[in-house]
Amino acid sequence: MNSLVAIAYVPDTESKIKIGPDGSSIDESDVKWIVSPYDEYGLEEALKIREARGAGTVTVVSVGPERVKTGLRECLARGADDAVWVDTGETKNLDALGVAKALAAVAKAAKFDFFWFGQKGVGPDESLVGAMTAELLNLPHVANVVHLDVGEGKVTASREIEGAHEIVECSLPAILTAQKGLNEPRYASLKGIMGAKKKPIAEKKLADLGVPEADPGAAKARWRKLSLPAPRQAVKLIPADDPAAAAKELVRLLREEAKVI
Amino acid sequence: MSKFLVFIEQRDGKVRKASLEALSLARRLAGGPVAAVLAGKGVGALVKDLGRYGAGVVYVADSDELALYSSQGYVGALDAAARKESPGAVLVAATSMGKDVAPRFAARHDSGVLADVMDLHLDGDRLVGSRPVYSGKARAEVDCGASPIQIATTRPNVFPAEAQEAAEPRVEALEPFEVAPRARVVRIEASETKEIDVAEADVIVSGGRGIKGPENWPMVRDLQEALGAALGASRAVVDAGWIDHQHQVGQTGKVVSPTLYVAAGISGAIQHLAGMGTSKVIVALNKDPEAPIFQVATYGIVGDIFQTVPELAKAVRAAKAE
Amino acid sequence: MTDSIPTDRVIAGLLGRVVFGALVTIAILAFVYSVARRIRVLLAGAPENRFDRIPLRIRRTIEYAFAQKRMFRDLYAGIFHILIFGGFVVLVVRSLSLVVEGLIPGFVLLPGAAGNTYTLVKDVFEVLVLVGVAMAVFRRAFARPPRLDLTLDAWFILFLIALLMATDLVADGARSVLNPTAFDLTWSPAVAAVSRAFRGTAPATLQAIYESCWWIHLADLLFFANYLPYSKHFHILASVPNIFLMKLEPMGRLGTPDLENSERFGVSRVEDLSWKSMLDGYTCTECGRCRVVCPTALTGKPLDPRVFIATLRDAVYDATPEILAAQSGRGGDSPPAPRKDLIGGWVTEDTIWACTTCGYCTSACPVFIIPAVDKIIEMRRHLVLEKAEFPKEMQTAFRGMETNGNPWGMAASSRADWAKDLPVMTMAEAEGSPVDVLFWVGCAGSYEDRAKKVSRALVDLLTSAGVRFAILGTEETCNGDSARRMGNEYLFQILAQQNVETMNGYGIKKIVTNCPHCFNVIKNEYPPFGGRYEVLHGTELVSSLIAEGRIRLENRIDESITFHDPCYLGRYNDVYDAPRQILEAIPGLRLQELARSKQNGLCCGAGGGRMWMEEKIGTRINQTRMQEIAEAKTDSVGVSCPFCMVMIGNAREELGVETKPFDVLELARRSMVERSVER
Repeated sequence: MNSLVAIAYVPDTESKIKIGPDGSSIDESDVKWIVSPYDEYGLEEALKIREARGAGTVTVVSVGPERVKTGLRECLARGADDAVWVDTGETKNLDALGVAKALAAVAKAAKFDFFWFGQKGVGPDESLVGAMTAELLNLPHVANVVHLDVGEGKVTASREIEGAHEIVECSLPAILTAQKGLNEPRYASLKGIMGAKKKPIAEKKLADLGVPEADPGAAKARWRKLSLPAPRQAVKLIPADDPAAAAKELVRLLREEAKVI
Repeated sequence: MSKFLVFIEQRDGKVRKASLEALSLARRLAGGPVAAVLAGKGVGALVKDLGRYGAGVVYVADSDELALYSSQGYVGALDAAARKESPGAVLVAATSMGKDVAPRFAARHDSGVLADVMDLHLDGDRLVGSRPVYSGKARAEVDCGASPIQIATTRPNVFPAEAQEAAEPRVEALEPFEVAPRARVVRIEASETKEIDVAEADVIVSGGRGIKGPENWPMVRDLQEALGAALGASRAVVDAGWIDHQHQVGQTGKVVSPTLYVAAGISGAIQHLAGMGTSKVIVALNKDPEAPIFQVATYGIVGDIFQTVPELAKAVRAAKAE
Repeated sequence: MTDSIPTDRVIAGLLGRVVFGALVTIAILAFVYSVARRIRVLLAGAPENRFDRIPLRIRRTIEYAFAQKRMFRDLYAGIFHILIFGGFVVLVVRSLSLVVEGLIPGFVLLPGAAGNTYTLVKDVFEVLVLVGVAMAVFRRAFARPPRLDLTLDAWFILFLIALLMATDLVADGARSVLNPTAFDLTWSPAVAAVSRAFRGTAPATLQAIYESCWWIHLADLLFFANYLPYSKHFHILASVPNIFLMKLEPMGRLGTPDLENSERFGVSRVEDLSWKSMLDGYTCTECGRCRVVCPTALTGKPLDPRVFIATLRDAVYDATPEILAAQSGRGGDSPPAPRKDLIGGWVTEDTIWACTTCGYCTSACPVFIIPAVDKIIEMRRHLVLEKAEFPKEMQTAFRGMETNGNPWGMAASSRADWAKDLPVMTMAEAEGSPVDVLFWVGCAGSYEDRAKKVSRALVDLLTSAGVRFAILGTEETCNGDSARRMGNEYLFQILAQQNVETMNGYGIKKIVTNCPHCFNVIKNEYPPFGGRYEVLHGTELVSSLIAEGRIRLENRIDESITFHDPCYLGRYNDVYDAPRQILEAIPGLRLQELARSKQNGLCCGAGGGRMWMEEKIGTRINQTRMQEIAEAKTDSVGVSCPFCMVMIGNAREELGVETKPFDVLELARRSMVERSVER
């Protein structure tokens, strides 16, 4: 069984975020880049399916500037067979629909049973590209997969929803987005790293794939402005003289200020 | 401003609160009643309530095939309603269903999505959303650019759901359409029975050496349950054998990044911070004001956790009951 | 020999001589065959150059093989061992001459005074060997130190040795009575004593005693030689060469494989072992010195260095027939039955991951076997580089080092945040102005709360002493120690190259660091990467500044303190005095040594990347060490390593012990009187 795996190459979650000169994107100078962790679950599952079947290929695809090739090499080192790089050139903040269109164009030229995505690309955190690609390819889509049983021509997936799991049966080919818990991504062996240097990375230009969104004027979602939150406040200490009142105040802050409960 | 259409999600014959929040928001932005679309089986009774939250008209797709979610069926319903209504903007709650419906609908209409916004306002005719990016380290102001339809998903529990006295909405039944989904929900398994895995949880309550002994877990568990959280633990208490390793958060345990992390009696050594430092909101409960956990915490109470933890559980329950 | 009695009386004529000659021939052939097999297997091992710096090797051999310097760390064992060893050296001549006497009647080894001298020496040593054997027997039977495994093999060998001595003495004693004129007993006091005991015995009985002792002695000798290659006492033959071929590189420098041009990484099969590692196995006599202060053996982990080496030796022996068949081109048509891999087959993965690389075993081995560290790392390399199989928590550390240059994965860009409010320059800022020394902060010193305080203390100490220093700031990245010792040689080499490039770019000559792991790696492991610097540990620099009077410690700290030696400072780099000198220079502070200290110091449990792994088997190493520290009943314990600080600090809280840990530099800072001298 063949898999495509979409790979986003994103700033490491520990990286300091600074605003770039255009005011709507990040300053990339001090950023360390990583393969988006959720995409690793997708890659791992694709590799496991290939290993379990003893046949098939795993192709990783990434849409972005030159640096994403490093991320693709990492995936090749972990065991992917080949890679496709869609070169976005100077374009910044290509929107989700643009990425989905590029991926759909790549997928149309490929034969695959699975097209894996991460539940979200860490950083923008939008969770859009997988479902959009599914729509563009007119394929079924199961999001937030935490367990997968592969059958003949179909799969049974367990996906996480609020407070429960949906068990979904899905025909193949299908788009699946991976959620944490699906598996434990492997580490690349040195053999894999050395071998990855010889594996092919096919290069495609965004412009050749029919993606009008590459032009910022045609983008369907734009970052108008990027701003930093007020510098990390020192901890807000709540006086504990009256524990009950302190607890109430904390709950109020969590609801109204932090908006987390 | 052109017309709003709001996708309403229901489960087990109940409208999701997050959808009511989106509906209320649409009414506020539109300055009057808006259109809504509801799909499911036997959902007619839910229509009435939607009026109070801002629906002037509700498009209903009601059929056996729509009893359980399928993207083909539910996006199909939204699509059918949109063809009738020709909305300028579509709002969907950013639930796991909404996160499937909105992008599919958007791609079908060559539009973008303002995903998971925490703020939404109008700039002329243009919807402008605001959302945290890069683990909350920055905030992006977003709009729909050249999209023919402006679509946004709204983060649950952020916008108020305001009920008002209102006329019962007009119901428009959508023509039945064929649904032969290739991805079909066969059943839903409640996960209440299973303990939430700390690695996947959105809210985590962790205990450290400050809890003094394994006999005091029930106190921490009580807060954990009140918050619907997973239970975490520091390396120290796992090493001490007070709790199983699967709960360990940190360098050699699980690396987590929840929305809310409550550290009870945890000093916050680097090996712990390495596992939870990227949590969005950190609450530190500790009696030692010098504990390093306070350097990364958003909120803190310096005091006896044997008082603060039970009080906090009480206050959370009280707030949730409101 | 001085007697003129023809030995052919004993050999009973021609037939006897033929029988004897045949026996000797068979024995010699068998011995040569056995030893040749062992040596041929070594040729199948991975290459390793151990024939460089011959004069140094000779000096070391004299020091450790003949003077047996390391043996005397256990005085009792050292004494009886050198008695028996001395006896062997002396008596091998005597025994060989006996064989020749049996074949050539009338053979005399040494005439005249030389002969007399040898007779005296031989006579004395025979008694000394018996004394040594008696001491060994006493130890095995009664004292029974826990490091020993009381095997039958050892008893058997002691019996054979004693029998050799006794039969020789008795034979000569009987002969001297039979033929008093031929024996000048003035040169043989021991034989003279036996001779006195035999006075009045019938000549026929004496003749029978003499002949049987002679035959038993030679049979014992021939048997002994052929038994050795199959017993742990092969060390009698292998030790001296093994010491001659010892690792001469610094103990803290692991081998640097060429990863670009290798097909296989690390060790997983017997053939992957270097020939010297195999020889190590032959040499081990299972004395168990390596396990006495081994942190894993003491806390119930599956790694016991003594057992580990014996297991490798057994694996080599097991593979011997197949290796030899392959060497001679035989066994081609029928593939041999699949042999157990070293990893998983002979040694479990838990064993391999248990090692803290504290180096105790290496430093304790009297015959310079490297029991665990280098070999374990080779196996880890196989697991990480070849198979990517390792305890999963290690991945967090690997990825942290890869992405952010520190095992915690903290943001690389905040590496210098600890120094934000301090008057500390980075090398980039100092460009142009001369700097005496680079302060290499290390990951812990940059990110870990307590270690950050120690970094600040060192900054204060250096500033006050007027030392011009700078840090690399965000240009510094993890030195790679943990990566290398967890088997991720690839990651280590990337980090090492990067750091060497950065430091050479600034023309750095002298470095101070307070982390013993950084210290060891930069000092010992960067030279092969082109990084040659004078590297000082924080305590070394500060103690010399104190000695020069540039730092004045005058504030009293009225406390008792003990000191926990970091492995990579002490055992690996012989820095024992500097931290103690600082502690002793602080007025009021009373230093009291731990029962296990300096080269016998017990590891805290963090080395070898164990800091980044879970300790799930046995009792906890840090708690074991903390209990030893608590037994000293001091107010505090000095440490000089950020990882020791974490481990000891955790153990203190876990056990509820009072003894407070302080970094030696924190104490120095507290005691320092700031100078207000303008510079």
